[in-house]
Amino acid sequence: MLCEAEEAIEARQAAVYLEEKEAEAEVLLEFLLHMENQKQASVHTLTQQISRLSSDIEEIEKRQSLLKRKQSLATMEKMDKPEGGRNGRRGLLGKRSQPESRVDEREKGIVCTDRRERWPDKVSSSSKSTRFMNNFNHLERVYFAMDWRFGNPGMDATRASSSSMSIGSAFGEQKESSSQKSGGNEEDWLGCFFDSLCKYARYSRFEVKATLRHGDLLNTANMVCSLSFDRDEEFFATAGVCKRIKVFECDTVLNEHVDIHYPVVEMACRSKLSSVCWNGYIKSHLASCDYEGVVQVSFILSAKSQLMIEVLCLLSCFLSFIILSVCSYGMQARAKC
Amino acid sequence: MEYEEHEKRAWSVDFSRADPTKLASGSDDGTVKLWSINQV
Repeated sequence: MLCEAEEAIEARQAAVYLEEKEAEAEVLLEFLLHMENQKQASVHTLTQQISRLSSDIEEIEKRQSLLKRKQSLATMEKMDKPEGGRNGRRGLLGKRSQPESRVDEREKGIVCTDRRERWPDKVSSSSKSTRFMNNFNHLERVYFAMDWRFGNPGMDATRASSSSMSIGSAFGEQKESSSQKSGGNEEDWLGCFFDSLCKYARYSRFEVKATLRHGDLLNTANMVCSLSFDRDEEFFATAGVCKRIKVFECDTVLNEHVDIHYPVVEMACRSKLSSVCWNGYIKSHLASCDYEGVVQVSFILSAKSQLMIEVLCLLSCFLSFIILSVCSYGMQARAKC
Repeated sequence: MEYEEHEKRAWSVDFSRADPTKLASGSDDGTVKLWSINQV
């Protein structure tokens, strides 16, 4: 009787043991399957990424060879006509091997020098790559985030707005002119990425081009609060606690190394100025605002190299504006010109 | 042209990129005001 019971218990125990083992094996299997799926997925992603990289590399090599060909053609043209090379394409390679473009840049003023300055000779390729390596993960993320294969057309605006002098665009133009492939999103995305990358790579630091002593020596309150360039980057206006808007000429400040630069235009204001802004489209419009809350638009008219200033008080128009603004805001408004 | 609307110090002013006849200013009085150069 007892033996029978023992046998039954043993059989039962064995069954339980087997069940446990089976459950464990199932868990293990599930884990392994899950891991396998994950790895397969990453293999898939990696394969995609590698194939994308290799196709991009191929593309760039093709473009590079095109640029080189263009470059050699340009050099040959330049030998025929000495001044011909100036207006040549400024691709990546073009930039590096056009020594006279630096003179051009110098002539064009502050912004041009900042924007188009080539690699300073001191910055070696090793420091360039160090900068790349430091931000490698970020760059990689950006690169793969730009899914140009299924690119949405909305981003084309960004692409179009980028400067036509930029490398990517130059590549794009090359491509169009060579007409070996029909232009698709692919090139645009690649160009877009390279534009950003090259911009990132080209600048590593700021360089002081000129120093301007602002304000007179007797007045200690010379803090400059705001600065704005005009539409053509020909002039810039400064404003601050000295209660004056001063307009300087970029070229003069950059090229004439004198102790004190005098402004071409100086406007006295009632109060300390906090901000100044030049209209990006209408060259003569300069807006400023001050510590009293007054917003002012000045009309600065330039005639050839001579700057004339006219702060036009369009009183009748202004009064109608005040009426309008009182209606809109329901506030008290005073008009003074 | 002077626009005296803000009750306190105006900190910043900028023209619109899309419409160059419009400008905006921001002030300590907690308001942002949009201005039009074209008068009615």
